Amino acid sequence: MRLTPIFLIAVFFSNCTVYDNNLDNPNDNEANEELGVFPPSVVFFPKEQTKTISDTVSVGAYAVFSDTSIVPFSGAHLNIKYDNSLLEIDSIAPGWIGPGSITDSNKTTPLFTYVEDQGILDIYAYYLSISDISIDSLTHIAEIWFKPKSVGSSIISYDTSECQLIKFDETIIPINGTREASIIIQ
Amino acid sequence: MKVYLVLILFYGLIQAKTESPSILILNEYDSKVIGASISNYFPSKNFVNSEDTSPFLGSLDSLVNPASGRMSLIRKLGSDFDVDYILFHQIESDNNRFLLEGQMFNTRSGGLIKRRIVDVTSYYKGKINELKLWVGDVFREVDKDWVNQRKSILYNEPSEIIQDKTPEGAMARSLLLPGWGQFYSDAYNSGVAISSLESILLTSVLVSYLSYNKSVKNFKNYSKLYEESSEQVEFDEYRSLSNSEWEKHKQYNSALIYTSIASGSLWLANGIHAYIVGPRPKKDIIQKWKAKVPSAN
Repeated sequence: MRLTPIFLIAVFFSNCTVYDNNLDNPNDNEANEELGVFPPSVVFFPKEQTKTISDTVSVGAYAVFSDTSIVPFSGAHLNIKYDNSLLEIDSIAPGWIGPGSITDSNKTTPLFTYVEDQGILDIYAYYLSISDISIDSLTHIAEIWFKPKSVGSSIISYDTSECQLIKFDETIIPINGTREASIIIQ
Repeated sequence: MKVYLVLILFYGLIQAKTESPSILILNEYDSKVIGASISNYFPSKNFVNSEDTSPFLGSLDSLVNPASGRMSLIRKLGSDFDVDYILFHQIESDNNRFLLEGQMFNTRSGGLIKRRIVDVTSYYKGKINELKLWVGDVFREVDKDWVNQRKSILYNEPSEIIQDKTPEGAMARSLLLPGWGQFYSDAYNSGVAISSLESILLTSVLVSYLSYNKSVKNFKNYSKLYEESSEQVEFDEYRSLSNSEWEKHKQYNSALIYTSIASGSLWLANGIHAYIVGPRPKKDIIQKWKAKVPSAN
C-alpha cells in the first residue's frame, strides 16, 4: 500500500518510451540524404517486401532528384540485377501515368524497351512529350512484376556503372547514389 | 538510688512513645459527607469531636500571619479539650466539583503546622476519600486504595492510553489517498491543500499520458503512411505530420515524467506530513480552572 506512488511512477516510466524518428522512404530525397544517398539517384520502391510463393512481386524503379538541385533529364538506361534463381520477370510497364512521369499524363507514348538476360534487366526509356523536352522531379521510370520461383530472400540492385540518365542533348547526368530493394519469399 | 532513677526515666519514655496523641476534629461541611467519620479509618488515633467550628470560619489568609494568627484560640481549645492537635476541615461543593481545605494546628504552640487545599472534580465517595488522604498524609498512614480511588478522576498515563487515531494510521491513509490522513487528523486546511494539489498533478499526469499515447499512435500511423507513399506530395505531407507528432510525443513524454515526479514526490511528502501532524496523546494537560480559596462565611 505504501509503495503505491512508486508503483505508479514505475508504470508511467516503463510505458513512456521516446521513439526514434527514423523515417525512410526511398523516394524521399531527404531520407536518402540522411543515409548518404545523394541526388540524382536511382531507387526501388518499396525498399522491402515479404510475399508468398503464389504472390506477384511489384517493384517500382524511380529517379530521385533534389527539390533544390533540379537536373532536367530526357532519358534513362537502368541496369538491374536480381536473383533469377528466386525470381523471374513476369511483366514490365512504363512508369506511373501522370504529371512528372515518363509517360506525361498519357499524352505521349514513351519510347520504352527492355532486355532481360539471366538475372540482368536493362530498361531504356525516353521522354517524348510534345510540349517539354525534359523532366526534373521524382520520376517513376518503370514498374516491374516478378514471379517467385522458390522460397528465400533476394536483393534487387542497380549496376551504376551501366546506368545512365541523359539530357535532351544526350549529355550524361552523373548518378550519385542508388538504393536497392529486398524481397523475401516465404 | 541511681538505678531507680534510670528505671523511672525509661518507663516515662516508654509511656511517652506508646501514648497516642489526641486530636480534636472540627468539620464544616456544606452538605452531608457519606461515611465522614474519620476515626473509623484511623482506629489507633485518639480523636475528639466538636461541633463548634465558628472560630475557624474566617479566612486564614486574611490574617496578618496565617501560621500564628490563631495561637491563643488553639491553645485555649487544646487546654479545654485536653488534646495535642486540632484538625479543621471545610468542604464546599460547586456543581460537579468540590473544594476541601484542611488545617492542622499544634495546641502546645498554637501554630498552624500543615494546610492543604484540594479543588477537584467530584468522584464516587470523593469527599471522604480526600479527607482520608489528607488525614493519612498528616499521620503518614496513606492507604494505596485511597490513592487508586483518586486516580479515577485523573488522566491515564499517555503510554497506557490506547489511541483510536495514530500518526501511523494517518500516514497509511495519506499514502493510500493523499489528504485522507490530514482529514483523519483534523488538519482540514492542509488536507484540502494537499488533496487539491495532488488532484491537479494527477490530472496533469493523466492528460500527459493520454496525449503521449495519442501522439505515439499518430506518429506510427503517419510513419507507416509515409513509408507506403511513392508520390512526392503524399510522403511530403506524411513526413511533416509524422515529424510533428514525434515532437509532440517527446514533449508529452517530458511533461509526463516531470508531472509524475512532482506527483510522486508530493504523494510521499503528504505521507510524511500526515505522520507529523498525526494525532498523538497530549502530554501537556493544563488545568484550565482557577483554584478557589474558601470564602469567609
